[in-house]
Amino acid sequence: MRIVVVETLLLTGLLLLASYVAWDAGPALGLPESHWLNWLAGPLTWSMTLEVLLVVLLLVAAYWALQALGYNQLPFWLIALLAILPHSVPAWGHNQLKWYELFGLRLELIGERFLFWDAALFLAVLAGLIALYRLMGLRNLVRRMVLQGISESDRRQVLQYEALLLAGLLAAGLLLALFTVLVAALLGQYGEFI
Amino acid sequence: MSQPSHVIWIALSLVLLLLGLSLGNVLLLTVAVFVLLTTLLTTALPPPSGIVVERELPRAVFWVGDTLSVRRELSAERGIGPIFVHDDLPTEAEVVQGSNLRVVWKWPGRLNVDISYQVRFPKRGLYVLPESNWESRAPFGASRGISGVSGSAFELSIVPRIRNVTLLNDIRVVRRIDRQQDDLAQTGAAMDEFKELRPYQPGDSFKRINWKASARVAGANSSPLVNELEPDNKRGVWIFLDIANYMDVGVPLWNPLESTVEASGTLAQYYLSRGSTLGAYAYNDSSGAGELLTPETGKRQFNRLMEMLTGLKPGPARQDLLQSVERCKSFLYRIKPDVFIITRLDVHYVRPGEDAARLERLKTAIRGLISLRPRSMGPSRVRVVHVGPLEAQSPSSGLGLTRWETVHVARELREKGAYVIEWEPEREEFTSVLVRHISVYK
Repeated sequence: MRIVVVETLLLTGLLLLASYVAWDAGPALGLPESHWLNWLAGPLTWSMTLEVLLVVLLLVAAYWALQALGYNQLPFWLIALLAILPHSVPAWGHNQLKWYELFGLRLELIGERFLFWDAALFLAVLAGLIALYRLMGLRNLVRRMVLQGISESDRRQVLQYEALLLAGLLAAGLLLALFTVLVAALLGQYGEFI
Repeated sequence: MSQPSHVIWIALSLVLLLLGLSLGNVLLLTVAVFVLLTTLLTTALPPPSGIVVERELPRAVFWVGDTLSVRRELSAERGIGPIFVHDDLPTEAEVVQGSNLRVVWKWPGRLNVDISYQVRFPKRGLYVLPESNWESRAPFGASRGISGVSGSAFELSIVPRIRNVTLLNDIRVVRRIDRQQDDLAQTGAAMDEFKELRPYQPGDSFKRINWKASARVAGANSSPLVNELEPDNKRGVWIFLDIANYMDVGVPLWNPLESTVEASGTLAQYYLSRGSTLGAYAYNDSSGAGELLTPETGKRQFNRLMEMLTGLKPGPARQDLLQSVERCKSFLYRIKPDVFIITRLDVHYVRPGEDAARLERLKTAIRGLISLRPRSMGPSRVRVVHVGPLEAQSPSSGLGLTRWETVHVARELREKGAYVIEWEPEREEFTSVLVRHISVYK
């Protein structure tokens, strides 16, 4: 039950974050205020509308409905797509090699974008997705252990260690990713210097 | 990459990596590195291996209801993740402490953990504890687990619990003189004096075959000859056990079948300790053929009986007492025993519309058993022990239906000369019943 609660909270957080990123990307694309992306991104602004909340709740309900129907992977990947897609806009703003302009394709974002902020948001979403995916596995593991009649103390121990390992894994991944960004930033500075 | 989902994660990271490289996009490169690293780290963790489960039992023979400590130790050499250990137990087994199914987490380094448990068998029988099954799983279910079996299989013998007969033996000392006057049942086993040669009959001990005499008269159709010995005046006792399915009702420790087994063991212990010859026949077993224990004396006979009782399994009621008496008649004529019939009397009650032949056959069998001994030797004693099933009692219910049926059948059997002992196992032990009735035996 606790896993289901955590999974639902994580799912809601990811969807809200995705709507924020979409809202953030709207002005960068020069979209009008009435555009659907701005509407979708409403929740994290001070003008959160009931409609946006309803959409998020509907998506969460659809996720659990599909899970209940036995589709474990499909709802996850649909959510992953919804969570990752909005990041394509801010990510586009950090292109260094604009070879597509040679073909007359000029896709520029309006305004300055901060690499660390965009990277942090993207990494947070990916870390959340990985955690969500592992939580799904843990939920199946718990179901199996319950069906087999494994005692609650044994189940709790396994869950604690799996969660600990997951936290360690995400921390290691984030540290290495941070290191990559720092190296890339240093190399960029070095490039500017020479 | 044994799991398809990992292929998707790897593919996603490679797409991000290619996009990042082709667009010179540090953000895409960073997230690609993150996804790739976490996926690779996940799959790089091997499931636990080098797993051994060692198992020990203190002994192989237990009383019914005893608690068995199954000592189990799990060790694993390599890997990281959960290890599932499972002992398949017979359905009759009750785990009273610990669990036969455990899951233990293994961190890097050698693991040694005690995962013992205690189990109780409320029903007698021969059971097998197969090897322990184990299964190890990589963290996050990242790769396919390893599974195997370990430890040795055990054969367990759960023997019926026999009550202490010390009390009865004390009474026996007081009544010794009476008993000597009364013990007129003849026995034909374990005697020394040769009487005659007779053809072999099924159930005769092979030790009694006179091979030399058999060889002298050997012919195409001749059966071996056995030594018939002169009977002495020791008491002969025969127990008929009804082990039909209708005896196997109620909770395991308190059902008529287990009580029948307990009563048989107690009677056997009592009479064999007095030097009596004992034979037994269990009818309506699962094989349908019945289980015969040829009459013998001594402790070895008690062990043989226990072995028989341990393996008894109830079956449909295809045999009745009359058929059983017919089957054992050669032994019954020879030892002219006191007979105990252990059954449920209420199942012999004839309800309106039912065929009365069943009860009539029971009465005929009892008449036959009573007439085993000539009048000059005194009356043959046939005791019917009714083992009452556990019946829900309420203060206002009065005489229950089962009880009423029992009383009715018991009255009819008493009229035929049988001595009926009504035993309610949930209220008193069989030894107490015997103590109360032993004065009547005199």
